[in-house]
Amino acid sequence: MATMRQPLGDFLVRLGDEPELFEEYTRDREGVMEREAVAPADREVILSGDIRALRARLRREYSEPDEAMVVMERPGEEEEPPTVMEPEEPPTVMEPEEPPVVMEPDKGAEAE
Amino acid sequence: MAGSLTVVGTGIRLGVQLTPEARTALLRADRVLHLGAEPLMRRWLSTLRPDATSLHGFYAPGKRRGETYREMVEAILAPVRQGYHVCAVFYGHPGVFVSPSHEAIRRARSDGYDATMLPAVSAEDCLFADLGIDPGVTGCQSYEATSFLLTKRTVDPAALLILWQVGVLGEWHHGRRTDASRLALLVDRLLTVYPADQEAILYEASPYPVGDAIAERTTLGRLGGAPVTAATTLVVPPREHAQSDATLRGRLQPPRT
Repeated sequence: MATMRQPLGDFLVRLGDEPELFEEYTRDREGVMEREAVAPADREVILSGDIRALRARLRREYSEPDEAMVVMERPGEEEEPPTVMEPEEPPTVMEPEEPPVVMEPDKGAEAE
Repeated sequence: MAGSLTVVGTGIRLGVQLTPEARTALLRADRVLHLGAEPLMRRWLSTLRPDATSLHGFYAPGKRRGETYREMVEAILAPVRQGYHVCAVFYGHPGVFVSPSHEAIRRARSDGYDATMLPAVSAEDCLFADLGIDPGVTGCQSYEATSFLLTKRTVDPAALLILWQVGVLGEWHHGRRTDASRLALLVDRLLTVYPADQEAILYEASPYPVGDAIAERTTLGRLGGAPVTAATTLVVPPREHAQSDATLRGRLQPPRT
């Protein structure tokens, strides 16, 4: 009887979500992958540690493309070509009103 | 009922870097909205909370990111205003290189709602661990790569330099990758500070619970043709020792008794 293979993505999601499975995997990687019916080609990629190869194999399971994920606005983000605003005045640096207190070392031991 | 907002991060490696407090916030919230970097991350988040809403749909090819971020903030705040306890989940650390998270917190507080951000494992945390670098030894300069190019910065070659997102250098729209000529601009800028044989490391943390980080060692002179992705970080180790300030060193000496 043919074994139903566990898709690579399913296995990785379970590793991330099931602490017991992850702990077991860190002790016996090949044994866990064998039991979980991970395909031999997927096992090989996982054991290689090569995340580019992992990503390439996952693309076979996910139709969504890897996109450039930037979640941060940068200077001139709303302009094209980008415009960088120069500050009108230099930033103000606050001076402390009093010098910092320097603690004297405890001399009690010497006094004894 | 008064709504509230909790912003959490997933960490970088899927699942295994989610903190217990972030997991609790995610599972207990009335409404969950998330932005995962990879399809697998989005699937995992949907497994944790099948009723969650992905913010990924606000991205569109060619759409300006500023517009996308404004829509994300509105989507996060709408259920808060309806009185729900909302958890917004971002990839990595929710407060590092993430504009909509800070803006959502700011506006929620401004409108009188409780809003909290929980810390998470950032890409920088992974970098220090994977590359064995302690930023406390030499100091650390960390810039988003495009911002670094667009603003005049004084680079200290005696301190570690980290430039993020070199794979989307000067790219203002979603879904596009940088071209090699832009990377050459960054190299030209760095060569005003460093020699061409300066060591450079192209780094990418593993986003999966398994897998090794990418750490490709090269030189600035050879960087121009290097393959980079949106997740690639450029690390430039310190070139020289920092100069000692003898005057202050003397003033810090304990008085002689």
